[in-house]
Amino acid sequence: MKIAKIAATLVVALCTMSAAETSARDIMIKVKDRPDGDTRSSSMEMKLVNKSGNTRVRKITSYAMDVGADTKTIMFFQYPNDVKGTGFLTVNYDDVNKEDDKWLYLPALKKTRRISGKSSKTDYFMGSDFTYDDIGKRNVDEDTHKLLREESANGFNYYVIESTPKKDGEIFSKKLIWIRKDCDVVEKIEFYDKLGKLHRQMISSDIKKVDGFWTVGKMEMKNVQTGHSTELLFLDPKYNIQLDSKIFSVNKLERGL
Amino acid sequence: MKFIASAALFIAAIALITLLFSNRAYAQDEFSLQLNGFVDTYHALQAKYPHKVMSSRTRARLELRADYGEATLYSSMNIAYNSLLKDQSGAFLREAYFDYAGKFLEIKAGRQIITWGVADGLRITDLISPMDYTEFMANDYDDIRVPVNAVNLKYPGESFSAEVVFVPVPEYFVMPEGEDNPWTMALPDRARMDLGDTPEKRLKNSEVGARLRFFLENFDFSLTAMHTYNKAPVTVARYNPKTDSILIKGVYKPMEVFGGDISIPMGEFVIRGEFAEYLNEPIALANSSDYFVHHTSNFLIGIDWYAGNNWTFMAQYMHKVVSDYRDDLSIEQNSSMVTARISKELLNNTLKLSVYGILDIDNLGYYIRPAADYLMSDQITLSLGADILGGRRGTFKTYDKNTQLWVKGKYFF
Repeated sequence: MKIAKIAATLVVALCTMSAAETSARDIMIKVKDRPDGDTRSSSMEMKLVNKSGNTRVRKITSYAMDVGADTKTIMFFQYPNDVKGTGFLTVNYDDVNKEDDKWLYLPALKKTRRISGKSSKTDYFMGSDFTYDDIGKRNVDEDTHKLLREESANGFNYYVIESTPKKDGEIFSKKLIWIRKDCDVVEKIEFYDKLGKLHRQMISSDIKKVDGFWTVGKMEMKNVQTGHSTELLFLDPKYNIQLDSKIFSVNKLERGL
Repeated sequence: MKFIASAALFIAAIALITLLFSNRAYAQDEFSLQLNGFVDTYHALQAKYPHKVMSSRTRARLELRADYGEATLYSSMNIAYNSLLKDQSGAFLREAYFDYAGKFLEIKAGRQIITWGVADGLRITDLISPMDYTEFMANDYDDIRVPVNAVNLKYPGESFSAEVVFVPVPEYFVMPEGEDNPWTMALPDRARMDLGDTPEKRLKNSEVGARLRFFLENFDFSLTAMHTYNKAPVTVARYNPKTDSILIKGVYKPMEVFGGDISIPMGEFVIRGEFAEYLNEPIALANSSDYFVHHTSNFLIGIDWYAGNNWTFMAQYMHKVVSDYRDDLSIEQNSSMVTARISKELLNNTLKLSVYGILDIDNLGYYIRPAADYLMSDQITLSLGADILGGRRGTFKTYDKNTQLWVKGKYFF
């Protein structure tokens, strides 16, 4: 009788845990699948600020197109002039077992390089505090998600989710994610390092509807361990624009804007 | 200096077009004109006694680009002062071309740099734009490439492209020359070098190449065919008993090239391969008295490792096989070379440490180029480095006294 009671308790506990995980995953899927049109474009301006307050600026123009569950993105670096003309083309596959396709065009060498679809995800993007993964679409199933709690602040209701990577080789051991319930937008992320210490903190602001789609206008990522921070502004976002699929090609990458 | 007039004409033409199109630009908001470039200063000192100045040059690079719809006019020009090599001072047009991107056909006509293949710093199918070895390899790779006057026609597909390049008058390697240039090869007494006997500027001596490129989910590959020349001259020495002197002449011969390349991403790695068959490549005899043409097979395999944390490792192995080999040729039947490149970016990508090396396996010669590039601001980069040459035999050994330390400053605008 005692064994049956323990077994029943265990089953209930496991079911509850599984339901919580499923629910957290569902929330993350909703965030990932938040409507953003079939095509989109924007200009990005990154301000990199070091501990002493010195600022560097990066400007990028990007276009993206959904092809089924996959996404093609092409980015052109506009500033500073030493990287102007550099282009980056990515095919981001929804299938977690499929590596992304990536090409990098280097104008100084006048050459396109096929690059690894795997490694650069954990590298920092152009010296910023954002990794390639942070600015791309990380597959939901690369992490295990757990709904920690729901909370209210600043007049909004949030889900707070803990995500832990399934594979080794990530630069974070876990992240805590605050998701606004009313629009499925991530408003805050805390990244913890391998020792469990807070490493980086990302805050989204200027959240508004553009062309009927919820849009983040500004993201700020701070490395709390080094004091370096990056402000990322999304200027002139556009959705469902007319784009020829040939724009997502190595040929266009080499031609530039 | 010979390009000053044409550069001035070109820039004047762009200015005129600017004026002509300016009204339409307001109306359609399609016309744009950009002036960019940089100023850099580079100074190198011989590492060994007597610590000679190996190079001291400053230049401004002006890049002017005018866009109107799908059409572009582009020119780049160097205005340089070289305190060591007087003929390298002045204004030099580098690239100047017209580019039009139609839906099914792209046309690029004019002076342009053409780079083919996937090899890093080595040439297998990348034969159209030759190399400027005025300072041997002790220069940035993009400065070493020589632009060519060409018409480039391309069909631009999404995952496939086809292009044909026609070069009416091919360009050839620029070799170091003059007593002031520390990279000029020392010649025997009473010997004279003449590398200027390039093929006549006639249509029959033009160069043509075609390439098909495929960009697929699991790999990229391309196929290449061209009618070209050995652009690095084969040298043949002739003794003139009347003057008791030796004339070393550069020989340039036509050859056909068929090849291709492939890139395969595999996890954190990318495997690269390049192959080309050179038909009728001239090869000098070991005693430099003559040359013979042979078919040669040239291939390269490389691996790139994107190790994460801003580490990149690249390694390449290149191999050449001479068909119908004769024992009196100046190269081995099988010759090979290895290159490696390691780089690491630090301090939020403001500091890049890198080292590039070439090992000439047959001659046990080496060339190593360590460098540190520091981004002081968005506009200013400071670089320190060295070119280390040596070995047992071959070109790298010949240049071992030229091992040098260098410093460079670059300001972008």
